[in-house]
Amino acid sequence: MSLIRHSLYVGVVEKPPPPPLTEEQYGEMEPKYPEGGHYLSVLRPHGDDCVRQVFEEMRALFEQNQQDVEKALDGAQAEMFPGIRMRHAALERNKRCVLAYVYNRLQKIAQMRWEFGSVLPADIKYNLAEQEVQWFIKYTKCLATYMRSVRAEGGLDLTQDLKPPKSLYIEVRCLMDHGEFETQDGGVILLKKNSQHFLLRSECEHLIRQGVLEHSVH
Amino acid sequence: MATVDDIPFDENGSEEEGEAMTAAEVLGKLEEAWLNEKFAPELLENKSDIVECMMSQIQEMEENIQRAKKGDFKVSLHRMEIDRIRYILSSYLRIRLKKIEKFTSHLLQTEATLEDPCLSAEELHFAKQYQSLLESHMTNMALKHMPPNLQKLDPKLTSK
Repeated sequence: MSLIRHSLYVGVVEKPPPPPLTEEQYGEMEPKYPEGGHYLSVLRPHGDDCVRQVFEEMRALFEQNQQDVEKALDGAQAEMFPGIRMRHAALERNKRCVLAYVYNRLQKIAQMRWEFGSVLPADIKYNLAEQEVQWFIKYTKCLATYMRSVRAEGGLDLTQDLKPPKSLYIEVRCLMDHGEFETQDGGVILLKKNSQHFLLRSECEHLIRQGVLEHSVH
Repeated sequence: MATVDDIPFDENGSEEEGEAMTAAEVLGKLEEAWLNEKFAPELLENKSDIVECMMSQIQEMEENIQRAKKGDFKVSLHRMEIDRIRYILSSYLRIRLKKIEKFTSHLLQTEATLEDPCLSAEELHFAKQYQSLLESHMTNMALKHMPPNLQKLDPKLTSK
């Protein structure tokens, strides 16, 4: 009987880390914003079947153990104990693996709240279990409550200003038709595909993260 | 009409705060707290008074900018300054939040025994909510499908 399903571990795939900055690049580089937010590591579909198999195995182990415990109480202790212990260790190990899997996925999903904002892209949602989507919504709510409670009128949006600001205005390029966009000083600009604009960084940061705009670095 | 020169700027330190601290001093304290928090592995004591003070400072600066003349060169300098302060503030609170998420159950356990609490009231609220979210998800996804003697989360194993 195989006790751990290794495929569980592969549920979360890491993207290889970006190449390290060379010494000249330190401090010189403009903060480059993620393109379309797709630099996150990929979340594979929830391994429903796999997890269910583990649960079945645990049930089998547990039943076997109960029978053996009864036998042991009838007097055959010496022969039964090693088996019971071994199965119990296996049960605990399985529990730990499943919990680690569930928890790791949650962390990825929580990270997505910071990357994508409060609405999940459809392709990511497709890979989540229903309960995970629910968890994402609840986590979003929880975070929003906290951000609102930071003392100030309107709270402080912690998902903004992820990188230290280097300049007030940045040059951006439109990647898709987005329609009209009202700037802080009341002007209206048309965000048309392939058009270039010079905008306040704080205003268009969320559009960059959504993948509407691209920060052009020269 | 107010001119840009009325904007309280950190260097002139004209803004007196509760305990007679200038804006520049508050900013210095905030930076110190931010760096400490950033490089410490565990959650440090909360500095919500500094955060609050800086938030109101930012608001005041923003209002002053609204009143200032359009196209004035100094306005963009002040805007930049606000952006920088806001970055420090959010980064500071973000780091704390990440730590709270990581050590939720440990923090909630020790919080009751500490004399001066690490968490601010808002952070405590967040931690409790997060903890219950996590536990109910774990129960629904995994624990309730397990044999009855394994359905509990062991606090010794889960709280780091």
